[in-house]
Amino acid sequence: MNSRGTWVIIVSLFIAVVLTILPLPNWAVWARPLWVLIILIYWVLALDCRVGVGVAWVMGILLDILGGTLLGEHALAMAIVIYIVAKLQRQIRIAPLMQQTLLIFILSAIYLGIIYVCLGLTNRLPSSLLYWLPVFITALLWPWLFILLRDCRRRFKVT
Amino acid sequence: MRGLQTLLLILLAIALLVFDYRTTYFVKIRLILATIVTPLQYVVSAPFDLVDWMSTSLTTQKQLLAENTRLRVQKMLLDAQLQKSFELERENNQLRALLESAKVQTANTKVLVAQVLAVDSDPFVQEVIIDQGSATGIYVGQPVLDATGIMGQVVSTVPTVSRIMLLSDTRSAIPIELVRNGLRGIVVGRGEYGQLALVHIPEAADVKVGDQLVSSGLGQRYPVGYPVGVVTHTKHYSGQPFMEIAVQPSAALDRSRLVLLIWPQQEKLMQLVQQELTETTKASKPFKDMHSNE
Repeated sequence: MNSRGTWVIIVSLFIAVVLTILPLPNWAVWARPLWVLIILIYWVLALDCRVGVGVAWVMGILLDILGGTLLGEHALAMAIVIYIVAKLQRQIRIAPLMQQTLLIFILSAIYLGIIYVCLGLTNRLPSSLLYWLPVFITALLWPWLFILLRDCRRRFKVT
Repeated sequence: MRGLQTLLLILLAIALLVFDYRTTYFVKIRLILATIVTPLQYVVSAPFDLVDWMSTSLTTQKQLLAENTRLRVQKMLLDAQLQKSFELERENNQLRALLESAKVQTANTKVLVAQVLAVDSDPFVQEVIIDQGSATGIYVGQPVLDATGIMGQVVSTVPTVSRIMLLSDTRSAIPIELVRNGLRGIVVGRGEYGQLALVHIPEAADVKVGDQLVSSGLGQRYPVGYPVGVVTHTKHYSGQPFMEIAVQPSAALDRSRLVLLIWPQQEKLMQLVQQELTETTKASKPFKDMHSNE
């Protein structure tokens, strides 16, 4: 298989991780988009076989280590969501941007839902409904990020 | 093929979750992994440190002079207070001697200043990472303060950095007493900065808004007599055995950039407590079961 531009994928994921652990002011702490998830989703949609569930799982573990959450929490959610995306890749790819946005909304809700269940089972439920805010933020971010990453992919000819 | 891979990864993640939650087996592995990703945290906090550094190095002379004057006044005030506290400490020791109670030194503790390196981005994990680790003698369970009160305790440490669980974390609990009447209680975190709760206080207890809470040292983890918080809100529910009490933490949990680590000399105290407990067990046979897990 002819594959190019692996470094673009690595850099984009690195930026996503940095954005995830970037300290934010107190009022914005709940509004952080699910950077790593959304960028992984993009690469799975764009390049079917390069980025898959394995990469997603490793990124999830990395988030768990950085965030101090239970080991496997983000990895579990990430693996399930990315599996769904990979399964539906053909359909999502040809969908219009608005429908994709709606789908990202549902996918991030599933992602946070799985983490919510993990938190619930380990008695650490968040007390605030703001927990679900990233679902909206991530969905709103999708069209812009999609265009940005598509241009990146074309310019650096990532295949 | 992909389905099988996913299934395996999901099972692996669940296994990790269960092991991590149920056992302490992973603590060491986590620490090693945390050390590997530490450079990333340095990279992320670098721009903030740069801005900090610039704002300190680019201040004008006028500002410096003003700040200098302010600090000088503050130092004088603090010195005055310190003198008073020396006097009080001396008097306290005298009184203890008079009472012939155990001489427990609460002063003379070793202190280290550390800088907050990173704050956890996960809003419901109330932890910060500091730039001092086990290489400087930091241990798990060590109390951490800032200039105005208790911040939390060390939950994990590697040679270069340590992780501190703040009082506002939902896993955190600290034994306290009311300054006004000595009522004992436990303050737990609610998972939000600036919000703690005093729990299991009976309806009839005397707790008012504005009451100061200090650590009671009863858990033998936090030192005695440091400010923990102020009662901001009390609520009674008819038919409920306990009050709902909101507490505002004294320490600036979400703002402090410098923290103090202290080494309370509590070994002696712990020995005394153990001794006392065993004596009680011997003396009161009927209550033996109560202390059997000591």
